[in-house]
Amino acid sequence: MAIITINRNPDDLLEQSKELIQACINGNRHSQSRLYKQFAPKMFAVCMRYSKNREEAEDIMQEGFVQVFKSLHNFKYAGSFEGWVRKIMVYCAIQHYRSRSKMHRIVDIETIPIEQTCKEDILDRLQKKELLEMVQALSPAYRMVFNLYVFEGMKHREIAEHLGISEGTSKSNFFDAKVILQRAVTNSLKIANQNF
Amino acid sequence: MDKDLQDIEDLFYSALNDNEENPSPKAWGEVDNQLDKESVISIKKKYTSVKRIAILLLLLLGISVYELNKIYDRNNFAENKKPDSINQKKSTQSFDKISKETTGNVSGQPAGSNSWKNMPKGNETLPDSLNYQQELADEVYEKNNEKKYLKEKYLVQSSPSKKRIWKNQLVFDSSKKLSLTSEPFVRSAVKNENPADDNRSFADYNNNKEYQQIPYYKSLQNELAENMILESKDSIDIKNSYQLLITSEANIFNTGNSNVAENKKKNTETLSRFSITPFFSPDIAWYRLQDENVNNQAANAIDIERDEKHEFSSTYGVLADYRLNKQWGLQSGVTLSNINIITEPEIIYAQPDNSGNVKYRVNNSSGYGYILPSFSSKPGIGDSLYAFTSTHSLRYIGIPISVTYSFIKNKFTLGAKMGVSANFLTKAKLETSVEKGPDNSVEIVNNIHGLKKAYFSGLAGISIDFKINKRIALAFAPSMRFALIPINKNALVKSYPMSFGSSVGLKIEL
Repeated sequence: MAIITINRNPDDLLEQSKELIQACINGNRHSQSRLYKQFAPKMFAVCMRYSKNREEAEDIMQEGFVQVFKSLHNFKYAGSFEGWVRKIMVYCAIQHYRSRSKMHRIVDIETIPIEQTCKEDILDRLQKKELLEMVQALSPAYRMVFNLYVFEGMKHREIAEHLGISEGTSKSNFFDAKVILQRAVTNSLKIANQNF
Repeated sequence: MDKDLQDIEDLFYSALNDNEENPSPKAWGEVDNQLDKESVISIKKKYTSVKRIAILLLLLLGISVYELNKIYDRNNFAENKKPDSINQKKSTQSFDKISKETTGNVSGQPAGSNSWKNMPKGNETLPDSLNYQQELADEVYEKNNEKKYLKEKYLVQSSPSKKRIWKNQLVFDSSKKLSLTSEPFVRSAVKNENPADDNRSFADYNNNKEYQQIPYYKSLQNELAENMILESKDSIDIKNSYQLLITSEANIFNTGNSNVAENKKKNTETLSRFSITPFFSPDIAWYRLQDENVNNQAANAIDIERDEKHEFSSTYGVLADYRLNKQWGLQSGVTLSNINIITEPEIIYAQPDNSGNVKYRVNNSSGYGYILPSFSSKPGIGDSLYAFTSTHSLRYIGIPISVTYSFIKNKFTLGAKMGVSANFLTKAKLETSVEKGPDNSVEIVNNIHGLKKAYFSGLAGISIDFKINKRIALAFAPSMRFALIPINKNALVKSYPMSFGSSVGLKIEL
């Protein structure tokens, strides 16, 4: 039986995708469709973290892919193509947030006590979907700061520049977001325990 | 509190970083549609510069074709009208011969005078040069287009210099030409021993019917009689020949050049080096928007373009023209242009401004402004307000400098111009109507952040002037103005103002 090995290394993927990228630059719609299918699941997951629901995530992802195809000629093959695409998605999410999202707090952080438990235990008991929903449930300002800090590895100074806020505000929002998520996790674990 | 919950970001990172989710199948369809739209926009933008170049090339081509056509017509006309080149050459040679001989005569060499002794009177027996001169004079007199012919002839002869003759400048010094032609004859101021002979010779010519018909003959006779001093040894025939030569030559030059002068005078009366044009131009204005950074600001240009609408814009001012020559000139002056843009209803959010105070930020294509309504004087970061409309107005003082090309067609002067303008911001006003309970509150700020103090724009256009009288013409000039650099920086988008206006004004020649 033949064993097919799929190399998931982004750099190797880049090598394999060079022709595909060039075809996309030339405006070949079929190639663009292939590229989209290749990266859509990962990018959609990224967009989901920055959105409150699937619809909003799809909007961001669509804008992101349009920008990807428009800017493909700027890609210099100097790094990971996936990282480059992801960066565009994040910037689109930031733009989306800056232009459309309405910031409001949806959870009172003082009302939910934090439960003491360990990470492995939490991951066993909570599904990724639930964790994603917790992030999505954050207010846009908190969600943006949390995502940019945790997943994109940005410093608070960079976040402040991107979002047009002060560095102090970024830190404050991050702290608040963490507290909200801690309480949300605790709350979910309580419910999970009750179900058991 | 458990450490894992304290470092909850790690929990979320490990759970969600490599997560994958499948979007709905229709998502690609949306991307596909967007790409179609973008490709159309990209083609439109791509060909904008090509269109500009094409317009400029067309203008230059038009001017070149017109100029070449004019030169061709002129040459063609001159070729058809003037005697053949051989005859012309012969005439010139004969004339030169006469001059040489007479010069020799005046300087005391009697041999030259013999060639003139037997010269009979009348057109048929005149030397070639004199035949030619007389034919020319007759033609000038008989034909209605004598002015045009001589003007064309003169222009061809005077080529390639063809200098423009300006107002208050003597168009053509016929007396100088006459004096040069007759210089050998008058140089020697020896009094004629027999004045009666001279009188007779002039009387003979007065009776010559052919020469009676030559224009200006009478007046020239008087002038020549005063200027011409003949030597005693000159025979009547020589004197007559001199007279005939001078008269015919003088007539040709005087008739021709007086006509040329007359025509030119007409033109020069309408043209002076300086003119000023106060004008007003209602403009169709728009912005060409470019994303500040393609990665993170791409959506701004599209969104802003969709949400904004240019209101009535205008340009007015005074332009001064300085003519370099018949066709080319320079134009400068002072213009005042207004740009008014209205933004559709939107939600605005509170953010810290540059000095750290939290205010509501209103974004637009020109830049951004901060407002702080009295009913919401202490907003928190992220607080929002509904802005019904937001209008921003910009005013620039412009100093244009253009190269102009123009030509006269009867009462019309048609022209084209191309140049650049330095534009200085003098006013930036942001007026926002925000929600205040059941009513609206209008907030006005006179500061739009992100705007540069000055920018450069290019301009190109055509002009049509209709002459009302000697000094005043009605000027109509459709023109296009386009920013060469963005008017803003550190704003959401780079904005390049563009406008098309048809200015109307009065051109006053100074």
